Amino acid sequence: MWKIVYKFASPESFYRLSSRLLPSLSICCLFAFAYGLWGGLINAPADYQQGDSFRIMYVHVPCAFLSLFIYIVMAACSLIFLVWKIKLADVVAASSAPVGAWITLLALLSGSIWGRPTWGTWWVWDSRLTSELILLFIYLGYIALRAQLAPAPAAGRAAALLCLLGVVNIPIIHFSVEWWNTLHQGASLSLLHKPAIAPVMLYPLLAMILGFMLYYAIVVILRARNELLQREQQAKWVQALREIG
Amino acid sequence: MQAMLNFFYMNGYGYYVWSVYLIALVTVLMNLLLPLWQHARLLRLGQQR
Repeated sequence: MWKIVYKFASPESFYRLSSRLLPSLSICCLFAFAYGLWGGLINAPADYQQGDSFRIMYVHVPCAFLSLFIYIVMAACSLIFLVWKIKLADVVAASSAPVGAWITLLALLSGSIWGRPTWGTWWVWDSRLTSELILLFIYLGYIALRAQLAPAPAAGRAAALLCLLGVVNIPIIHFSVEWWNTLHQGASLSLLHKPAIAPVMLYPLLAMILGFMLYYAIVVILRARNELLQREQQAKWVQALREIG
Repeated sequence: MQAMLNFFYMNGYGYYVWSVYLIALVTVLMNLLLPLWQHARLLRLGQQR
């Protein structure tokens, strides 16, 4: 078992395997987005309370979900890197941070633009919005810390520690709509309860969430490959790759 | 034609909805293209030597 893990976690085999995964991931991602966009923008009827503005949900909810999901992946990788010193985990965490920050910004912007027609304001300093903004700052802090310390070996460890400290914000974001009074509505999707959305609106939303998760996987692979090429400049497999072009 | 315009107008919500989708499209594409360009650059780097 450990042999297989270490074999896959070696830079060269990760590079090859992940590159081979890219085409099928991209096709699945395109199909998920195509169905989600058709279902969300064309097929689903206007909401009886919010009219057509609810269609912002198909960008906002997947991004908000991903902003937390990506951070949890980063935290898991940071823990693996600190405990077992598997360098690939550090590479995946480092590659996740920029896309996590962009997705968080997207969640904030789409929420703000949705808030204007629905709540009558672009922004309020309430619990959900503020804690999500703090998440963006944690992503940016993580990226800045790495950029400052790299290429020192301590960069990975310091960044991993920062990432693990920031985990405290994740449950705060998730439960903020229950713990405090907020303009933001409660969860419409949950693993434990029946969804509070009609199927014709729900299935496209699930497809968009799947599409964004696949998109994240694709971007992480692309970024991790670049990171490996840079870190392993002197390795034989990188030299060989360059000769082929 | 009118049906198309109505679809984009979305009863007045069109500006909000489409600006979100435009921002999302730009962000999503940029995050794909930048690492792809960097990848091409990294592989080219070795050939010049």
